[in-house]
Amino acid sequence: MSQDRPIIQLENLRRVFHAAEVETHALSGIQLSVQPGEFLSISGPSGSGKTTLLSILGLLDAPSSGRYLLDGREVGELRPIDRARLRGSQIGFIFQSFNLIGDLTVEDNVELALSYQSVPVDERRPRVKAALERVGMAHRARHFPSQLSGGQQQRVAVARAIVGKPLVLLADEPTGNLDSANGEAVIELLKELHAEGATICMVTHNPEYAEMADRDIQLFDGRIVDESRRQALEAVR
Amino acid sequence: MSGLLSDLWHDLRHAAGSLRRHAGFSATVIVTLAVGIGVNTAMFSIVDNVLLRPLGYPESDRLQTLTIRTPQRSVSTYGFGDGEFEALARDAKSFELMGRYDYGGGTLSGDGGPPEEPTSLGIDLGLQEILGLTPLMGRRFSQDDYTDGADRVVMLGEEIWRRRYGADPELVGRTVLLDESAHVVVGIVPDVLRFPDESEPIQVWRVRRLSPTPRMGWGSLGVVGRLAPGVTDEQADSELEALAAGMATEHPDTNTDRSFASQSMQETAVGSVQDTLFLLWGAVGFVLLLACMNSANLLLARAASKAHEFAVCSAIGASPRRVMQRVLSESVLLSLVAGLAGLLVAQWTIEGAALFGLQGLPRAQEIGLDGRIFGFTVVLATLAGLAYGLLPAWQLGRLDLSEMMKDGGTRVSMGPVGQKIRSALTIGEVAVACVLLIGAGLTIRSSREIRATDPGFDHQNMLGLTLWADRPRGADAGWNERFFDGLMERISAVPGVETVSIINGMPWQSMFDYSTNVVIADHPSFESGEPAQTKFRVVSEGYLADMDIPLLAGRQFTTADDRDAPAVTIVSEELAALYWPDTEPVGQRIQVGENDVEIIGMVGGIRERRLDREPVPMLYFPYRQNADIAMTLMVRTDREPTLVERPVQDAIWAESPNQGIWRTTTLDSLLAGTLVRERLYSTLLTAFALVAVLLAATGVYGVMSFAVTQRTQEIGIRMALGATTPSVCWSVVSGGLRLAALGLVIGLPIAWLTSRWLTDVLYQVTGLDPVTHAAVAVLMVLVAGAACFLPAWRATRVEPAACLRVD
Repeated sequence: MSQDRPIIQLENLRRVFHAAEVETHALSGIQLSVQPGEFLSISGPSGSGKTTLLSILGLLDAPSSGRYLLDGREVGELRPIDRARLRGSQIGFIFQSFNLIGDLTVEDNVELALSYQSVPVDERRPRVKAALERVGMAHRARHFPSQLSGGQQQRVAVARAIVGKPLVLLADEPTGNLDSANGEAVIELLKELHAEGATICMVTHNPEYAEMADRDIQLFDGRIVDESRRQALEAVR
Repeated sequence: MSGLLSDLWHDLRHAAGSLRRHAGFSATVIVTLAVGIGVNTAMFSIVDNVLLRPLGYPESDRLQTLTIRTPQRSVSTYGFGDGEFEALARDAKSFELMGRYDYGGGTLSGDGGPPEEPTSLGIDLGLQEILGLTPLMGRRFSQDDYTDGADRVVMLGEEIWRRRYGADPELVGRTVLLDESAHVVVGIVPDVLRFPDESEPIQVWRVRRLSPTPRMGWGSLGVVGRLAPGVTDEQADSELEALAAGMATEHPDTNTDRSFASQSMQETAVGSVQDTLFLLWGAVGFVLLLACMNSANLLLARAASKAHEFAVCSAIGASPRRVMQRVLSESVLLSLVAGLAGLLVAQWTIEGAALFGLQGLPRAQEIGLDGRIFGFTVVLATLAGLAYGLLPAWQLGRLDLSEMMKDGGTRVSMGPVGQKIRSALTIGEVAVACVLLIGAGLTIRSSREIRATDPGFDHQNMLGLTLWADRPRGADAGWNERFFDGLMERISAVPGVETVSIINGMPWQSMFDYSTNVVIADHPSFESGEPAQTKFRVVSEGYLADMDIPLLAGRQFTTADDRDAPAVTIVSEELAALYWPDTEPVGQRIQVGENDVEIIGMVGGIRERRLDREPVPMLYFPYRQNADIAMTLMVRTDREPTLVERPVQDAIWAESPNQGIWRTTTLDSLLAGTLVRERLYSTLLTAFALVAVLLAATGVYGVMSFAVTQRTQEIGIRMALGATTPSVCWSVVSGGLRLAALGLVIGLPIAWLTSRWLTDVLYQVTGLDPVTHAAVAVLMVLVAGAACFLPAWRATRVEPAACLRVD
C-alpha cells in the first residue's frame, strides 16, 4: 500500500439497474477518493444511492461504467471469483444487523473470514483470539450469537471484519440496530481502530456520528452533493 | 492441498454443527435417503452376489459348461455320452482340464434311520480338481478309487452328515449302505459347495467311472471344462464344433445333427435370472433418483431460509466455489449418515425379500452385506449427496450479494427461481413414481394372470413321492410293474388316500424331462425321414383320470395295455393339432424308436413346466409296457396332503423296508416353486413403487406446504377481499394437482417406452396395458390431492387481519 495514492478511487462511476423496461440510475458520475487512514462518512436520504455505493465499494456489486481503483488496482470489471478473493482479503464488512452466523460460535464466526482467505489453520486461532481481545469479546469466544446482546454481537462483527487485516473497513449503519449506549460503544471502537490507522467508510444517518469522521459526503439522486449544494439542501429541510 | 483439506474439514465441521441444530430437517433427509440408498444397497447385494462375483471355484473365469445343440432340442447341459466325453477330454485342446458328472439315485439305509434317497452326484477326478473340492474332514477321491476292484467310496454332504449322522466325526472311514451296497465314507463336503446349480448342496458324492464300452450320442453326463490360458470362448466353441462334426462323420447313427458349444459356468448358473435382476436394479435406481429429488427439494427449501447466511459468507470473502463446497458438505454429510442407516434398510430389505422367495435365486445363500457392499454404499451415498446437493449449491453460489446492503442485510433471497426449481423437481418425482408404479402394476397384473391360468389338471390335494426302485440284479422284465403295483395297493389302504397313480416325472418337477424320437409314416412333416423329438411321459392307467386331465377322444389306458398287448399311446391335443389338424388322431400309428405304436386316445394339454408356458405336444405311454425304476407315486388325498405324508411313506416301507424315497412333495408346493421368482419380482417391484409413491407424495406436500407459507400474506389479502374457504382450499389443491398432471404428462410416455423392457417377463399383459396406465394416472392424482390436503387446510386457517399486520 502506497502512502501517496488513495486506497479507493472512483472515477465517473455509474450504476444502472434495468427492471422490465425501466432504467434506474442508482449512481451517476461518482468521483471519490479515499486516502489511507481516512475515516469517511457517507450519508444521504433513502434512495440516494448509499447502499449501491457501499455494495460497489465492498465488491458485492460491479459498476455499469467508470473506474474503481482499489489500492491502485482496477477492480470494477473483475470476475465474481476474483471479486470474492479480493473482498475476503481487502475488505472488512460491518453490517447494521450484525449478520453473525447463528450456527457458529463467536470464535468460529470470526475464523470464518480467515478460512475464506486460506490462512493456515495454525495461524487462525491466535489471530481470532487477538481480534476478539481487541474488541473485548475474548471471554465470549465459545458462545453462540443468540447468547449475546446486540452490542456484543456487533463487537464480534467488528472482530470478524478486522481479523483479516483488510485495507478498508466498510460499516453500514453499524449502530442502526443498537440502543444509544451500545451504539456509542461501537462508534468508540471504530474511532480507536481509525486512530490505529484503519481506513473506514461508514454509512450513517446519525449526523453526530457523521461529524466524527474526517470527511462526510452526502449522496442525493445517485450523485455526491458538493458543499454549497449541501448547505442549500439542508436549508430547504 | 492441506489448505483445501483444512477448508473441507472446516466446512464439514460447520455443516455437522448446523445439521445437528436442525435435527428435524436432517432426520427427514436422512430417512428419505436411507430408504433410497438402502434399497439400492440391498439390490446391489443381490446382483453382486448372484451375478457379478465370480463363482467360488479356482480360476472360475475360465470355467465353461459344455452344451449340446440339436435341431430338435434347443440347448442342453446334460446328455453327453461316455464316448463323447472321452473323445472331448482327449482331443479338445482349448481346455486344459475337463470334468464329468451325472446325477444318480441310490438309497441310503442301514444305519437306523429311515431309508433315504439323497441328492447324489457322480464325479470324476477332473471335476473334483475344477471345483477345488476340499472336504471338511477326510479326503477327496483319489485315482485308486477309480480303478477296477477298488473299495466303493463316497463323500457325504455336510447337511446330511449333520442331520442323519449327528455330525459324527468318526463317520469318516466307516461304511454306509447305498443301494444296499457298502460304501466307505472318505470325506465330508462343505455345503458352501453347491455345484452344479448353485442352489441346493449335493448330499452324496459318488465316483463316476466311464463305461467300459463308452457310447456316443445321448448319455447321462454333464461336462465342465477349464479353458487353457489365453483361449477365448469363441476359439473353444469353434474347436468343439469341429470335434462334433468329426463325431457326426464317424458315428452318423448317434451324432448326426449333434453339435457342441460352451458357455461360461457363471452364465449357466445365473443366466436365467440375469435380465430380471438388472431390471429390478434399474427400478431401485429410480427409487434413489426420487429420494435425491426429494432431498434436493428439502435442501432447496432450507437454502431459501439460509440464503442470508450464505450471502454473509460471500460478503466476507467466500468464493462461489467455497459456498458450493459448504452446501455440498452438508448434502454429502447427510447422505453418508443416510448411507449408514441405509445399511439397516438394506438388511431389512434382504430379510423381507427372503420371505418372498429370495432363496429361490441361485447363489442366494451368498447374499448378504460385507465390506464390498459397505464400500458400494459409501460411494453411492457420496454420489447421491453430490447429486442432490448440486442444485441448491448452484443456487446459493450465485446469490445477488447487493441485496446484502438493503434493509440491514436481511433481505437476501433465492428469488422465484428456487420455487420454480422445486416445482420442477416435484413434477419429476411424480413422473418417476408413475414409471415405477406402471412397471409394478404390469408385473402384478402379469402375476395374477399367471396364477389364474388353468394348468389343464387338478393340482390340489395331490402328494407326489419320487423314488428309484431298488430293482434286484437280474430281475425279470415285469419286476418294475409288480413292485409299483404292490406300493400302490399298500398306499390305497392308507386312510385319507383317494387314488394312487404313477408317472415318471410329475408336472413342475424340472429334473425329469423325457423326449423320444417319433416318425409318422406317409406324413408330410416326415418326408425327409428325420424323426421329431417329442416329450413323453409313462403313466399308470388311472393317472390321466386321477389328475382330471380331460379325455377328448378315444379311451384311457387299462391294465390290459401290458407287455403282451400291442404298443399304444395317448396324445395330447397339441400333438394332434400339430400332425392331424384335420383328421381324427385316434387310430393313427406312429413310429417311436423301433416300435410301431397305435394312438388310442387324445387328452387335453397341460402346462407341465410353468403356468406361463403353453402346453407342448406330449405322448403318454402305459407304464405296464414301459415302466422305469424312477417313478413318482401320485397320491390324491381327501385332506391336506402333508397330513398323510408319513402314513404313505410307512406304507412304502411296509412293502419294501429299505426303499429310499428321493423326494416327497405336493403339487401345490411345486407350483409355488415355479412361481417363486415372479412372486419375488412383483413383490420387490411393488414395494419399490410404493416407496416411490410415498416419496412423490412427500414432494408434493413439501412444495405445496412451502408455497402456502410463502403465500400466507397473499391468501390473507384474498380472504380479506372476500375469498371463500373452498376457493382458497381449491387454489392450493389445484396447484398440487397441476404438478401431478404435469408429472403424468412426462411420466406416462416414459413408462410407455420403458415398459417394453418388461415385455419378456410379462404374461398375457402388454407393456401398453391401458387399464394399468389409467389406474396409475388416477392413483397419482388421488395421492397428489391427498398430499395437498394439509397445506390446503392450513391455508384456510389463515387469519386475514394477522396477515395484513405483517408489513
